[in-house]
Amino acid sequence: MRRQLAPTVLTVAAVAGVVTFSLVASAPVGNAAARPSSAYAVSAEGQVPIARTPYAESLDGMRQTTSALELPKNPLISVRAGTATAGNDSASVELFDIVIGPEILSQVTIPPELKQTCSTLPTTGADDLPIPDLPLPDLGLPLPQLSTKDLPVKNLPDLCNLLLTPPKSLLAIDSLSVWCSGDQGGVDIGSLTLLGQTVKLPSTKQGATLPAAPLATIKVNAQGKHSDGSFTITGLTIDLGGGTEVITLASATCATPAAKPTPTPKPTQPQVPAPPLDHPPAAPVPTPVKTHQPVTG
Amino acid sequence: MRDERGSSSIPALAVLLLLGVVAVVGIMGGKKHQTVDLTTLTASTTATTITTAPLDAQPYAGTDGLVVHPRTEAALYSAPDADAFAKIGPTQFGPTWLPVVEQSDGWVRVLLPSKPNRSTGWLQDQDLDRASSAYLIRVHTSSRTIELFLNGKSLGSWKAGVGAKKTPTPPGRTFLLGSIIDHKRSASPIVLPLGAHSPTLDTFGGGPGTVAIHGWPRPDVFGAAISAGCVRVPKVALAHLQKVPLGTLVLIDSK
Repeated sequence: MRRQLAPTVLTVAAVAGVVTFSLVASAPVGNAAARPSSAYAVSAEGQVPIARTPYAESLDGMRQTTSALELPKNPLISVRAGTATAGNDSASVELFDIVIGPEILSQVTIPPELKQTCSTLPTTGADDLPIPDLPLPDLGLPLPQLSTKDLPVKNLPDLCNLLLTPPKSLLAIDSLSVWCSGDQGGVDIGSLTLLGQTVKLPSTKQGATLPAAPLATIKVNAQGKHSDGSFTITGLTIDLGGGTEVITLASATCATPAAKPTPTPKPTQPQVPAPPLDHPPAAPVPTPVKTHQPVTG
Repeated sequence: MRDERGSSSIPALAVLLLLGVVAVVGIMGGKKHQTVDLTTLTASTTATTITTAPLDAQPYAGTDGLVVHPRTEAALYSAPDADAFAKIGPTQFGPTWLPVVEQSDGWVRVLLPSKPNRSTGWLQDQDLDRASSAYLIRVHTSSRTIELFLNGKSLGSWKAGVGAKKTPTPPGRTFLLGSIIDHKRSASPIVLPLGAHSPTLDTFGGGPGTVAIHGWPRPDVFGAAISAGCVRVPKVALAHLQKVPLGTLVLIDSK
């Protein structure tokens, strides 16, 4: 028994060594945070629910990207291309050609009395005529009962114009890009068309809202930090009908970095400026190369 | 007795041997970036797609102008001391110059010319020529203008033709990848390919959908959203842009 003890102990020690070493060797460099980094292009809650599409999530810190060329079939919203990417502590969304309420106004049957008024507009002074308060037919959208007074028009000729030559959509956005890195992020929005009118965004600063009431409440660049330290930025939140339908466009969540650097204590003495880095020489002026490369034109 | 002792030592020796092998593999594995087999890696070029490249975390930020040129083929890593996922060669159309967007001890993170847009990679800071570009090109797709800056001062702002609605010029930061003269484009042979690609066209004209800055024979396109993704600029702007060093940052936004 004693003679066998030494080799047995040796075996146990060696096995323990292999196991320990293997564990150390295979231990991941970073740890996934409680809430993973994630991103999605479109989601909607309410009467027309749409699951997060496309949705990317990074559970292990590796970068995940998903793209979608169209959304699940629905009457409310369409996009042409969306890409969501989530990585270790970064996430981003790119979205093109978003249309909300496509072809919806062309389905509106204009009340006969309004049609009559519109066809007999006087050539002068029509701008001063009051906008009639007529209920609009159900648009099939999750909106409260609307009247002609609710439409964003200045005067009667504008109203006639809007209803007789209806715009292609309630709201259209040609591009939307959102990104976050750690606890910072930003939004880039292309041109935005509300009822056929290009709307100048007051700002893409955090928490800005667009004047589109009562049709919709549009919030730009909503940012928030979660209790686990993760950070979420949402490009646009469109609330139709006071919460009956809430559409979220381009949202990115950045998990807490796997290994956050510990803050260095503040120096008690005034900080000495860092020595200047070596100044690289000026980059050369390129020499054109004669070749053929098809580019997008 | 002797036999018994010998046989019970064999498992222990085998395990020790295994431990040794694991240790050697572990040590070798820890230094694998020094022994990367470049032949197994895909080269990042405007024609390749490398989905494992880490994406630019700050796609609208500026840089300090540092650009680097790999003197020989070099491995691209997903992070300092992490795995190599691709390689970059010393030439693209002309010499490869890439903008540095982040630096860490002994490493630089650069923008890449391959798909998808906003791809980046880390290079070991060795066998690299360093230079500084004092230029910055800005493209605004809503106001359809291109601006050129030198040391932060505007050298000019011109109306430009940008991507049409269905074929947008991709927003984000990219860089001047090359300066070519393409005689197959007889009307506007000067072409400055960028590191970006059309987000909606997988291929274009037999190419990978590379976005470029180039001229256009008719002036009516300047100020219009009309192209398949490229930025069409007036002759006078192109003359300025041809002097801008390769690797210079191009910031495209929707303003």
